[in-house]
Amino acid sequence: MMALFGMIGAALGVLGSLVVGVYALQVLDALFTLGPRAWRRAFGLPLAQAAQLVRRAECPPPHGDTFLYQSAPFIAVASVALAALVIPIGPGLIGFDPGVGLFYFIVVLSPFVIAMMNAGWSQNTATGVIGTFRAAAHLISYEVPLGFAAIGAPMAAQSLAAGHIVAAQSHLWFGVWQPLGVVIYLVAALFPAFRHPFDGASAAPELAGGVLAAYTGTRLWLFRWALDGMFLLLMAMGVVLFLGGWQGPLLPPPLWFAIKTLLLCVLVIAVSRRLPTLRHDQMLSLCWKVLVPASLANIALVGVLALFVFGGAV
Amino acid sequence: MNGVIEWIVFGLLAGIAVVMAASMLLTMSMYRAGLALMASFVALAGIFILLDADLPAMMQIMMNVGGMLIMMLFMVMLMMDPGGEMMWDMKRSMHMGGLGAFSMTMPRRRSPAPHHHPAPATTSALADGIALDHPAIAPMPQAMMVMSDMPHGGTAMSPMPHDDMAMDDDKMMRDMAMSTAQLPWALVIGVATALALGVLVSITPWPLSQMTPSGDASAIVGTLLLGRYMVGFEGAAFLIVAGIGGAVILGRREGPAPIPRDSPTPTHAVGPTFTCPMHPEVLQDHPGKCPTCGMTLVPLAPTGDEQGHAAMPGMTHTGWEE
Repeated sequence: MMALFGMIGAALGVLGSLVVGVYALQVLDALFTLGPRAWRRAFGLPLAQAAQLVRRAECPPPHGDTFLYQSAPFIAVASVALAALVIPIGPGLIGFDPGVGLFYFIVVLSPFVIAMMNAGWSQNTATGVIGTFRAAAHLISYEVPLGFAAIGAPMAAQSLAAGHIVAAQSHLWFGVWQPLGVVIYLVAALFPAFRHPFDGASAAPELAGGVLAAYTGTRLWLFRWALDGMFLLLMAMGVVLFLGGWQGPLLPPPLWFAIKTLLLCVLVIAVSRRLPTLRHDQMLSLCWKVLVPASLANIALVGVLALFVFGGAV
Repeated sequence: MNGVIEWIVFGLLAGIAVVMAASMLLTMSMYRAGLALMASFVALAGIFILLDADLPAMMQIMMNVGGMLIMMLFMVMLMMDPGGEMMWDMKRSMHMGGLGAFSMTMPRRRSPAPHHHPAPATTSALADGIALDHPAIAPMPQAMMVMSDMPHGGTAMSPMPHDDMAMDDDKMMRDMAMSTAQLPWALVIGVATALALGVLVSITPWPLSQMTPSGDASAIVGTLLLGRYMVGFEGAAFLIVAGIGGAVILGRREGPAPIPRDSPTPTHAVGPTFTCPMHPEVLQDHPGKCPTCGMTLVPLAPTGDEQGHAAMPGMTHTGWEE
């Protein structure tokens, strides 16, 4: 019985921190959009948008695939919640700690992309289907570079469990001696989150919203929430892999983790806002011609460094 | 207590796997078939987790979700109607500039007009990579036939005479999306295969069943997979590849026939080939000036613009010739 209560408590804790984190990320986004002088509005904007969307009536597409249309936002939110389980925000503060934590995290990103594809397909419109194709192109683009870039950390830590990876960085962050891995990870992390330079699947100008075109009301809000949550989780996993996780002086570990994650978010948003949206063919060539070879080189480099310079057990 | 929960979870996962595999066979939409296959594999990954084999479970999900997704993408791009009959109006409007690779056509349903035009190649509209079932061009012959025949009153004046019929059976088509015409055969084959597999599994002496549970189950499963059952998995992989190949071949057979582009039109071979743009009664077999107005004569048949006309076969039969 106690075990059951423990599980429920862990799940609630994970969900609560996810909700708070996504709110913080949405405030950040609003700050970037509105400018720092409008910080009061930036704090209210996510809540106002949520209230406005939840009150709006649903308007399902008339000749679409109803089941896929209605289930897609929930698949997206569920995969975000599942991915949040394996991120440690402090020593022992983790929802679920399998031995294959990082691998699990990368695996549960795929259902999220599937949800985006279903959303586009179920609308029964041309723009939606093109959005579906682009989302599928995202999946086959990001999976290899993201996995190869992230694998540098478990190679050095000799474990796939997130807690072990953080503990192995007590002396030196992996990001310090794997800068190439950090860059590849951060670029590839923008794909599954469908963030700005790679937001072709839900492009507002050319596809009228793409995969999200037919959504309004609560389901649209859920989708946007899941997109923000996915970006936040990818940045949090970046902190776990390369920036020492919860470790830091003086402040309590969860606070350090939150500060690092939000700073990484600020960095990535600030850089990505200055880039133009990539076309899907440019996106594919970036992935397969640049990121994949670079990540392979990174693996070789990390292997040599981990073996000879850092003596295997960092 | 734990054992009971494990059995319940196992039953649920196995049930999901079997039901999803069956619905993959029975659905008409290739997209849904791909999704059902994914769901079935994910349920199998749950059974791996029950066996304490986390790593094979994760690999199962990653490989199959990624792999199935790519397969689905290719199916969507190669097939005439990957959404089943359900999604046919989406396919019809799927022609956007700059996306030639994604541009597709699908067999247009027959017009209800009693005199169906014999010649116009409305279904074989794929030429030079340009799909031509744009509603403004392709149904023109049919529309004109219907206008001359007036089979069902006022609706015939609409530019797309089969729209009302489409609306009628749209609901029927959507209901059909979870069943095929080959349903009885699929059921018989599926049940027979399931029985054969069940017998095979129960008479096979599984070395795993005699082992005591250990913490390192993933290593045992991996060794057995790579050692004893490799041939079986290779065979399954070969069957899958053969299935994909067969699907592609079947899809090509249903596809539009290529338009013979070399065959010269009869106007090329005989008769006058040059005319005046202003005076169509002036016909010559060599270029020159018009005797009436002095303008340069232009070719009667589209010799210089052949490609454009080959891409629009519907325009060569406008219905005015008869």
